[in-house]
This record gives sequence, C-alpha cells and structure tokens, in this order.
Amino acid sequence: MTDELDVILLSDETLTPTPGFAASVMRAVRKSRSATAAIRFPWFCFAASLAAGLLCVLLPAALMVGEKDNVLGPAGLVERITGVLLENADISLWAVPAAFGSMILVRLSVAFMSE
Amino acid sequence: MSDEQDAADVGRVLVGDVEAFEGIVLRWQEALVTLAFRYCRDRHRSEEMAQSAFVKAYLALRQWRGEGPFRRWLFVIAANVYRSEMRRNRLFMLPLDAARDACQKTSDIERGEVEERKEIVRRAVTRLPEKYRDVLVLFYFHEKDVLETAQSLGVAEGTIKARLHRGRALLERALHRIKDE
Repeated sequence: MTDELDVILLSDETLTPTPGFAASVMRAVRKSRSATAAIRFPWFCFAASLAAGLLCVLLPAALMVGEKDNVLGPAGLVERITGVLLENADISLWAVPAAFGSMILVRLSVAFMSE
Repeated sequence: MSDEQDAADVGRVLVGDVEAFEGIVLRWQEALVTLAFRYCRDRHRSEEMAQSAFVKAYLALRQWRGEGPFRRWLFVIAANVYRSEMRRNRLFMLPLDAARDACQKTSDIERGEVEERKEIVRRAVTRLPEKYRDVLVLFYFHEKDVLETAQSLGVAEGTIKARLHRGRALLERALHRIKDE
C-alpha cells in the first residue's frame, strides 16, 4: 500500500499556469508596492502633535508665571517659564518620554501596516 | 544557473527595478502553482494562492540574506502562505467522502478507474491533519527529499520522518475506510 501511495503521490501532475498568470502577479506586485509606498511616517502629523504637546506644557507654565507675578509681559518671560518648568520638573519631564513613546508607536504601526 | 539569475533579479528589484521581479515569477510560477494545487486540488484557487505567495515574497524580499538558494526561501514563504490560506478556507473544503463522490461523477466521462483512485488518494492527503498534510505534500513535491522538506517547513529532519510515517498510516486508514464503505 505504501509503495502504491508513493507512486501515486510522486506522479501527481505539474500544473502549467494560465497564460495571463505572470502578468496578473506583476499587476498585484505593482499594486502592493504603491500601497506600501503610500504608508510613510506621518512627519507632518507628528510635528503638529509635538507642537500641540509643547503648547500644552508651556501654556499652563506661562499662566502660572502670570498669576504669580500678576503681570503678563514679555520681559524675562522665557526665564520665568523655564523656572516654573524646572520647579515642576518631575511633571514636565514626562513630556519627553511621552513624545518619544508616541513616535515609536506610530513607527511600529506604520511598519505593521506595511507587512 | 537559476540561483544566479534569481540573485541578480533580487538585486535589481532591491535597487528599485520592480519589473525585474517578473524574471522570478516566470522562473518559479509553475512550481508555485503546482505546489498550491497539491494543497487545495483546485486549479483556479491554486493560481490565487501562488499569486499571494509571490506578492508576499516581493514584500519580504529584503529579508532574503542570500545565505541559501533563493528558491528555498521562496518555498518557505509559499508553504507558509498556503498553510494560512488553507486554514482560512477550511470550512469550504469538501469532506473526503464528498470528494470521492465528485470524482465518481466525472469518472464516466473523463477518468478511468485508476485515475479516479489516484485523485481520491491525493485529495485524502489534503484532508489529513495540518502537520501531516504539510509534510506529505512537500515531501512528494520535493521528490522525496527529506532535507529539502525539513528546510521548507523549518523543522528537524527527524520530525519530518516521524510525521511521514504517521501521515502515511493515517492516509492508509482513511483510504481503507472509504474502500470499505
């Protein structure tokens, strides 16, 4: 029986693809190429999100400075905001790993979509 | 010779010449369609499966390190694609008894009894549990080359031999059952 199985399974036919098969594969390949090329890292969105994130950190700091000094003027504002950020460094420094983590997550998503 | 041509075509594709992939398709289309057919026994579906395998290979081309022949890497990808496709479409597979009936219906017109029996055996292979089916399909596709089969499936040669033995036993049992009915 095993010998017979051997003969039968070894003699299974070889299939010749239909004439348009290679062309059809190449169409699918080109299509997949343009689909993956379309998924690029969204630098614009990332920059916009980063700017919005910075604004969320800086605006409360600026408001805290204004409240503390009871004035909102440009003179020494940068130094005063920096001072507030450094005073609350334990909170404000979280923005850095948050931004970095977001970038990694987006990159992984793009890589996964390109698979 | 085809190993060198494959490597040259892969090199060209990787520097941006997509059309060079056609050389690979033309060289391996018959093998990949044939292998797909041995998994599903359906001509139309085998071309769809082979196309998926080529696209998958194209997208993963950078992962081929050139350490072994390109065809070996291609067959690993194809076997993975076919296995997934078969798993996904398991519900649409004919039970073995129905396959036998289908063979018998056409036998009067285009098949002799011997051909009918061969087709039943080949379809019975596709109905085996996955790990035995894969080994049997690839072992006979690679003309009984255990090493090549092991490399295509990424398992040890000893495992291939054990699964071949068990797979053949299961196949014989299934065929006896059909014969008795």
